[in-house]
Amino acid sequence: MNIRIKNLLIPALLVVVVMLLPRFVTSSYWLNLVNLSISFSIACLGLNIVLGYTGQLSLAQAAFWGVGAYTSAILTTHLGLPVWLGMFAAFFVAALCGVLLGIPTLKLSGHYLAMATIGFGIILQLILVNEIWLTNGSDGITKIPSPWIGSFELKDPGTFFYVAAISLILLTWGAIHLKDSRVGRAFMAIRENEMAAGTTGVDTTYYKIMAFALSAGYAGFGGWLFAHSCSHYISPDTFSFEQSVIMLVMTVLGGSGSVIGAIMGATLLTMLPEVLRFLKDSYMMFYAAGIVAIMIFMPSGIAGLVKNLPVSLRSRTWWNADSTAALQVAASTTPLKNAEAGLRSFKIADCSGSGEVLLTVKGLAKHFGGLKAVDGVDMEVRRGEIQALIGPNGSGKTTILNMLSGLYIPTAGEISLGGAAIAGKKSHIITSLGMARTFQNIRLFGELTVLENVLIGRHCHSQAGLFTSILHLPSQKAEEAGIRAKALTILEFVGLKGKEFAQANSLPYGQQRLLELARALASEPQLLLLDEPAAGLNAAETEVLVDLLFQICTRGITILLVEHDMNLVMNVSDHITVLNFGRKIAEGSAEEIEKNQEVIDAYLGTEVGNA
Amino acid sequence: MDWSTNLQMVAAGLAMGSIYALVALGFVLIFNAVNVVNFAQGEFAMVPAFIAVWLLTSLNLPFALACVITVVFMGVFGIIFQRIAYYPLRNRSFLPVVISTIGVGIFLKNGAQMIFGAEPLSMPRPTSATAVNILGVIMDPQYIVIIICTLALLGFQYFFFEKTLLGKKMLATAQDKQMARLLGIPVATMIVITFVYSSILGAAAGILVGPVFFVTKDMGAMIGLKAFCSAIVGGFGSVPGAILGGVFLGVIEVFASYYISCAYRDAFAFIILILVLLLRPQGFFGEKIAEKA
Repeated sequence: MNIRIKNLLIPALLVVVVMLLPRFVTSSYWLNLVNLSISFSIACLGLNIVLGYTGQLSLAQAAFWGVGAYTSAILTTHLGLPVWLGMFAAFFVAALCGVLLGIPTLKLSGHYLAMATIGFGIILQLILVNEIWLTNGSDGITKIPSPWIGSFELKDPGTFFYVAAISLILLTWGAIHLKDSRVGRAFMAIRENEMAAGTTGVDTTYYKIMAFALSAGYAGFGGWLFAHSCSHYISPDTFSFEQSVIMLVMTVLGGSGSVIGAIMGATLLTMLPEVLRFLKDSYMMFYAAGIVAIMIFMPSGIAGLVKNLPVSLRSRTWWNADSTAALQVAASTTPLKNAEAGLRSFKIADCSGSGEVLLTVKGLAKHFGGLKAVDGVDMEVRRGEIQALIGPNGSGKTTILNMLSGLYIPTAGEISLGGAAIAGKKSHIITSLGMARTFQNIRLFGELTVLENVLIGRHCHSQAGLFTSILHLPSQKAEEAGIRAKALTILEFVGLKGKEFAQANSLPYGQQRLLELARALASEPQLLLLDEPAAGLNAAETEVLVDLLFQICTRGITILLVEHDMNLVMNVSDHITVLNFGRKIAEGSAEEIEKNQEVIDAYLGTEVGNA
Repeated sequence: MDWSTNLQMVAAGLAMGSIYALVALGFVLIFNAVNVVNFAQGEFAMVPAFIAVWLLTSLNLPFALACVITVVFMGVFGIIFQRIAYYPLRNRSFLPVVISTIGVGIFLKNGAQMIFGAEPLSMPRPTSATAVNILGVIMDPQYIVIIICTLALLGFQYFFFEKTLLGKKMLATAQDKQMARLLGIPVATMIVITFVYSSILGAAAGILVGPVFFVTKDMGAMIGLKAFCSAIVGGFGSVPGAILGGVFLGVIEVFASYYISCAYRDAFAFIILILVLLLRPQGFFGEKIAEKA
C-alpha cells in the first residue's frame, strides 16, 4: 500500500468513528460519560507531557483542570462572554498558573515537587470555597452556557460530542508531534538526565516551565470541556487532590510517556465506575486495590502491554514497512550518496587562528566547606591543540571541568572562552558559546535512541519553538531534516552508523562512550572537554578513540582532556597541565612533564616523605 | 495584645505540632530506610483512631488496654502495609511506589467508611473534658497529654537509636543497605521494623489527636500532608528537622489562622512550605545534596 493512502488511513478512520458514535450511542447518559472521558483524556495528555515526557511528578492536574473550568464558567456566566472566548481563556489562564507553579518548584524534583504541587491544589481549592464573590463558594456555579455555532446551540451531549472529539483529536495530534520535535526531545532529555541535558545545550529551567505551562494548558482545556458539558455545573469538590491522584493513575495506567496510552487510561478509569456500580459502597475500595495491583503487575501500563502483543507487533511491522522506515532509509542514504563530501563538510570550527589562546583560566578556585578542591589554578588552552589535564586522584581535575562547563559555580577566579567570560554561567549558555563535554561516568539519555541523543546535541543549533513543534509547520520540518542529516553524518564519523535507532543504553559500553562523544560533537563546539574518555575501554577501543581524537583535532576542534591512561595522554597531548591537591604543579609538553621531578613525586611519592 | 490568648494559642500550636511531628517522623524514618515517601502516612493516624474509638465505645475497654491493643494492631498493620505497598515494588523507581501508597491510602479511607460509617465519631477522653487553668492560661487538658506523651515517645526514640544495638542496626540500614548487608545485618527485617515503628508512631498520633477533633475518614489526609510539609520544612530526612518542623508549623498555623484568616487555615502550612522551598530548599536542618558529575 502506498504511503499516501496509509497517511490518510488514520484520519479517515477517525472521521468515521466520530461521525458514527452518536448514532450508535444514543443515550445521553453514555454520551455524557464519553464527553467526560474526553475531558479527562485531555487533562491526562497534559499530565503525560509533564510526567511522561519531562519526568516531573505533578499532583495538581485536577487543580489546573479546575482553573480552566472556573475561568470559563466565570467569564461566561458573570460577564456573559462567548463560550469560545472562554475556551482560550481557560487554556491560557491555566497555563499561566502552570508557569506560576513552575517557577518556585524548578529546583525541586521527585517528592518535593509532588508536595509543592499538592500544596498548590489545596490552596486553590480553599480559594474556590472562600472567595464567594468570584466563585460562588461551595455552592458552585450553575447554568453554565453551552457553546453556539451561529444560531445553533450545542446543547445536547450528542452535538457537544463533536466539539469534544475534534478537540481531543487535534490536541492528541499536537502531543504526538511534540514528542518527535526539538522541544519534545528537550523535555525527554531533562527526564533522562537533567545534568547532561544542561551541558548539551538545553535550558532546563525554561523547558521545565514550558512543560508545566503546556500541561496546565491542556488541563485547562479539559476543564473547559467539562464546565460546558454534562451537568453545566461545577463546584470546588470536583477539583480535589483525590481527583489529581486519579488523573495521575490514569496517565500511569496508560503507560507513562505514551499519548494513546493516556487516552486509554483516562477512558478506562472513567468507564470503570459504571461497570463496578454493583459493588456499591465498596466500589472505591476495589478501585484503590486495583490501583495498587496495576502498579505491581503492570509496570509499563496499557501501552507497554499492548506494544508486546503479537498482533500489534505484526501491525507495526506492516505500518512501518514503507512509511516511516522508508523515510528513515532515505534520510540516512542522502548523506551516503556524497559520503566524501559529507565527511569533508564535517569541518566544524575554523582551523585558522590556530595557536591563539581559546580558553583562559585565572585564579580558579572551588571550596567545598573547608575542602579546597581547586585552589587558584591558572591555565590556558590554545586553539587547535589537544591539552591534557592530569593529576593523582582527588587533585581537582573533574572539579575544574565541572566549573568550566557550568555545573559548579567557582568560589573565585575567571574563565574566558574566546573572549567571553563564562565563570558561573549556566551550562546551556556555555554550550551555546562553543563548549561541549563528556562525562567520566557516561551520562546518555538512556531510554532514547542513538539518533535522538545526537539530535539533542544539535539543540542549540536549531530554533523550533513550542508552537512550531506542536503544529508541525513546514519550517520545522525543514529544520528537522537538516539536523537529522547532520546528526547522521556525525554518527557515521564516530563509527555508529547502523545503530541510529537502537536505544542508547542498549549499546555496549565502548559504543556508549562514542555516542556521548557524538552528542558533544553535534553542538559544534570550539572546545571539547573529555572527562576520562578512555576509562573502561579495552586496548582496541582506545586505539579507535586516539584516532578519533586526532581526527577531531584536525577538524579544528580544540580538546581539553582529563585522563588517567598515561600512554594515551603522552601520545596525543600537545600540552599537559598537572594538578595536585587542587594546585597546578607543572605545565609543558609531554617530554617536559615526563622528566619533571615534582610530577614524579606527586604520582609516586617522595623518598624523603616516606622515610 | 492579650497574653493569655497568645499563650493559649502557643499551647494549642504545640499540641497540634506534636501530632505533625509524630507523623512526620514516620515519614522520615521510612524515607531514610527505603527512600520512599509513604503517602499513606496520614492514614497511619486515621486507622488507629477508629480502632481506639471502637475499642473504647463498643467494647467499653479501659483506656490503657485499648491503647495497647491499638498499638499492637498497628504494629501488625505496619508489617502488612510494607508487604503490600512497598515490598513488591522495592526495585522500581519512586513513582510506582508513591502511587501504590496513595492507592493503599484511598483503600484505607474507604474501608474505614465502610466499616465505621460516614458519621464522625467522638473518642472518649482519658482526662476530664473541662479546661484546666495553668498560671492563668486556660487550655484543653488533652493538649497537655499530647505534649507529654510526644516528649516521652521522643525520649524513648532517642534512647532506642542511640543506646540499643537494634537501633544502631536500623541506622546502619538507612545509611547504606549494601554495607549493612555485608556486615550481616538482616536488612529486610530492619525495614519491616522501620515500617512497624512508623505505624506505631501513627498510632500514637491517632490516639492522641482523636479526642481533640472528631474521628473521620478524612482526618488522616490533612494531618499526613501537613506532616510531610513539616518534614520538608525541617529538612527532609532529618529527625530533629521533622520534630521541629512539625512544632513550628503547628504553632504558626494557629497564630496565622487567628491573626490573618481562619478560612485559609489549611493553606498556611503549604504557603510556608513553598516559601521554604524557594528560599532554603534543603530546609532548616537538611544538607544540600549535589549530584556528582
